[in-house]
Amino acid sequence: MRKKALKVAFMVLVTLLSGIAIFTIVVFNRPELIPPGPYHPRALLSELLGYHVHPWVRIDPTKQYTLKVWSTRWPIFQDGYGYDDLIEEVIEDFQKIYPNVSVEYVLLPLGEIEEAIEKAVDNSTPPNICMAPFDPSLVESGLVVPINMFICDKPRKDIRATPATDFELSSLGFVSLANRIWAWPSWMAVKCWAGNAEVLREAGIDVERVMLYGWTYEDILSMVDALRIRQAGVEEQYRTYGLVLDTTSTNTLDTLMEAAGRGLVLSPDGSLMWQGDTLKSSLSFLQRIRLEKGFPEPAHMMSERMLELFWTGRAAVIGPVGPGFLRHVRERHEKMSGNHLAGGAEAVEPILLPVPHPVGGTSSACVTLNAAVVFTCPGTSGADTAYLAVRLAEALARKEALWLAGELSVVPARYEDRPHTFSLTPVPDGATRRFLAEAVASGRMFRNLSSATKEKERFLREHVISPMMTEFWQGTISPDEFDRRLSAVTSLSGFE
Amino acid sequence: MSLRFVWGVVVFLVIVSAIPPFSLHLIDSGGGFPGPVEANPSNYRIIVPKCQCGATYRSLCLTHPHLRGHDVAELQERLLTLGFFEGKVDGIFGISTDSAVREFQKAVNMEPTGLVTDLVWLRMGTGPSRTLPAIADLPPGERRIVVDVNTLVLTFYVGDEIIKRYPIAIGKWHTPTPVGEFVIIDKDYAPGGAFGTRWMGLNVPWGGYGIHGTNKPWSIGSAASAGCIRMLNEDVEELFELAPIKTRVEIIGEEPKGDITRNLRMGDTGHDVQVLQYYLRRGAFDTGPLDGRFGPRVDAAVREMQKLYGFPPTGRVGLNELYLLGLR
Repeated sequence: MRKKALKVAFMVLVTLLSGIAIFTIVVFNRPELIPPGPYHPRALLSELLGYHVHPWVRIDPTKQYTLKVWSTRWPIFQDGYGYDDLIEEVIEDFQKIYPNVSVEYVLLPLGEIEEAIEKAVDNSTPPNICMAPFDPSLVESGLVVPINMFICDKPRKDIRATPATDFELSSLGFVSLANRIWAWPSWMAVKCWAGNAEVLREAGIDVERVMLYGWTYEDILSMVDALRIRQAGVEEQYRTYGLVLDTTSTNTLDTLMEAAGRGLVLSPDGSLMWQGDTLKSSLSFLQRIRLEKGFPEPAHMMSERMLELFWTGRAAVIGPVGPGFLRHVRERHEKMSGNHLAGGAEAVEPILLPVPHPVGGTSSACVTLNAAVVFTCPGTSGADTAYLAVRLAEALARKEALWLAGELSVVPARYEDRPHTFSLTPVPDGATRRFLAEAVASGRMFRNLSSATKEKERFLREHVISPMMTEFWQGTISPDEFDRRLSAVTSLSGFE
Repeated sequence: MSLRFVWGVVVFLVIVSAIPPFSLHLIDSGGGFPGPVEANPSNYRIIVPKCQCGATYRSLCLTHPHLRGHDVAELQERLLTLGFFEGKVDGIFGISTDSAVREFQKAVNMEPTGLVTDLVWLRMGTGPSRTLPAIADLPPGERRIVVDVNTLVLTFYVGDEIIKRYPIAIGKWHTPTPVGEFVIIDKDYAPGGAFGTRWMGLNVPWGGYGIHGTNKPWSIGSAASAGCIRMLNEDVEELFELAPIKTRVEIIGEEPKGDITRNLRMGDTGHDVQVLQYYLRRGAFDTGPLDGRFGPRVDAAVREMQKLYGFPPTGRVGLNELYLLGLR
């Protein structure tokens, strides 16, 4: 009797172990042995891990799905082919696979999508897909769909998943929080300054080296000094200036603090990051340049003459510049070669430059990442709709990157899209391309992780730091006073 | 002495009071932006500043010093065509012009006064005949007018359907017809004189321009006006009924030229704003109509451009923006 019971127990154990072994084999090695569906072991495993949207979600071919897409209306045309044509094309291709899906898309004016999506998430009415600069604070809403299950380590046979190695590693890092991937990386833009290579070389700067390894405040001050000596006796109206910077808002200080590793005013716990030596050294650097007559006067109005001084060869460095700067360079070169510029123009060799960092620090670029985020809309869409949204978002993210990289100095997040786009980009030379590629690979992205901190940071920038910067550019506030006043504001009990 | 002084003051006051008050219509003719107007549906008579074409509505005769102007040149050209004038078309009403006018008056059984009035103008011309079909019932859709200053044709559309084409005269090279996108803002039922039988004013910010009839029908098909769009009276009468106030009028022609020499911002108007609008549009930024007004749409387009190129979105147009647009 006992022997029989042992035999049965042994058989059960063997069956169980065999089952587990088969399950393991199927799950980890040969998932294609079982037809895809909601009861596929991997699907069950995904559900178990908390991923309700995964590649095994079943799409009902008889059901009519509607996806809403929000993106930016890029005012760019390539021979009459605009951004809406691009979206239409992606939708058309998507509908060949999923004919029962209709897509409604809204294109918002440039720069307005972030605010719009914030409000939509606050009201729990987001679209299914949003193509925008990635904002990690949206994750805390619980409406963002993680896409880990759609990204794999190596190519898969059973389902359509994208190998992680297709992406620039840093881009996946930027969209990852708590071991989950929250968006499809699309493209990255590098925050940088720009320079006139010829003037810089004349002032003793090894331009190629700076583009590769960065430069310090001292390098800039030496360059300003060299220019000053070279131009002794030159009248003010013909002088070449070391730097012509943007004096509106906090733009210039932002780039300096980012290069110093302090891109955010507040840390995730809400404490002040812009204080002490880092802040004071950045401001002192600007103050010293002013004392060395490296800025055109009046300094607080120099940004209004930025392009004039640059294109007339009277500015060695301008900044900060966005990804549209090289587009402007290309357009200007086209006009110059076609003699379409009234009054002609001097030949200038524009290059992108890293933002200088404090002496002793390391050079690190600051990048922004645009991504396609998928949302679940509570009560209106299920896992099947979210699945379709993930698929469409991936296609949109990729197409947008390819298209924009042909017009702006942005870098697609996918490696394989780069050679193609670099051949289209207005990027003028190999050094600039290398600079951009290096910057996105090793750069950092600074974004607030929580909406509460983001709100505080926005308030500080708009109502405290920006007015103080105006005073600083006017020369009425010193770096020490700046630091003291900023610390005083944040230490107020009401601020917390 | 004091009596003579008092007498002098009385005489002065009498003379001053005898001078007819200038109406705004005369003083502002051809300049300034039309102010708010009051609609009067009974007869459409609305007093608004008119274009320089109104300046042609003056009686011409031999005076000392001689009258000068493009209306005199137009008269000479017409008399030359008709074979009454053999001199140089110089825009000066001299003795040879006076003689030609008298000869013409005699030829058409008018009293040879040498005075060129409305009637004389009308007797001098026949105007091109209308070859276009009459308009049947209009289909539903937005009514709009497209004026092509290159082909000298005004086309009336409903939606995308062409309803009718009219021959027109446009501004001379030194008083060009403004190119851009405007709307009809006022209508005048019987303006008379050089304006013919109807007037439809446009909201061109840098002057009083409009679509009107003429007392010189032979000038249709040429660049003869002071900037307005001149039509045959029978045509303008028809168009007048078809095109209500707020009808869009797109005048296409050469690109707006000129320099932007001041900083521009919301609220500014002028030809330089139109140049800005034109270049923004060429850069794929939506500015709305090329109407020379820096309104919210132009402001949004400027900000969009600034954002695209990585400049602070101030909405103001200064040197940086001119460089971005390729105007520097």
